[in-house]
Amino acid sequence: MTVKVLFFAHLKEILKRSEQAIELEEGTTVETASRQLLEGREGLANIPFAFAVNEKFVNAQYTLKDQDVLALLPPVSGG
Amino acid sequence: MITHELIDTAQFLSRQPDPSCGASASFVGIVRNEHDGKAVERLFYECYEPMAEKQIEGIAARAKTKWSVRDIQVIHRVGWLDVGEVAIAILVHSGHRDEAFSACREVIDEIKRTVPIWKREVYRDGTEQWVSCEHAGRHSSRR
Repeated sequence: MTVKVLFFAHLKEILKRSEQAIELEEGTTVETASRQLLEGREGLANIPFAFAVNEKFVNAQYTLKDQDVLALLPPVSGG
Repeated sequence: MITHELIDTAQFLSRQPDPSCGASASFVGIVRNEHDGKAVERLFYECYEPMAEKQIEGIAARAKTKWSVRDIQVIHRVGWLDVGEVAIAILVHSGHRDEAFSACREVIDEIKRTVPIWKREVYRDGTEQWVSCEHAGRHSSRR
């Protein structure tokens, strides 16, 4: 299945892209997908990401579906 | 809700309340010229716009019900902002002042805590950094 992943702020800068399509096995959780994406990337291990799927917050155990849009959200600082 | 343009605070706050309202409370957030002792030149707000719109809408709707207020309006600016410019404005109309203040406070606190917007500060010494204030969607006591 294909999932689109969105990156923001410092994560977008480190990865040098704002989005990426990834192929995942059925039943992959957000946590697993995130780990696969960020593996080996320096400076990302300690960022406490939150996750959103299709513009709603989900927890790390959420099971992704084909065509989902996963957003990796660094700590926010609006307002 | 989310705007890329300058916020006209006077116009935003001039919205007429329903005749049943005896209170209007507002909060206006402005770009400050310092952060942790460093002189701020300007800043950039990055935003996950479709989600931010939904989050703000949900926050306002929940606060409206919880505090039984008549109306809540929110506008948050994104993109480049200079020191002194308005980043966010919130307006609450209600029957009485207590719930107007409470709803207004709750809305700004929830926006700071959960809305996917990120601030990059540019300092007068030429350095810049992303400012991490809150862990989106989770409880934090940091402000």
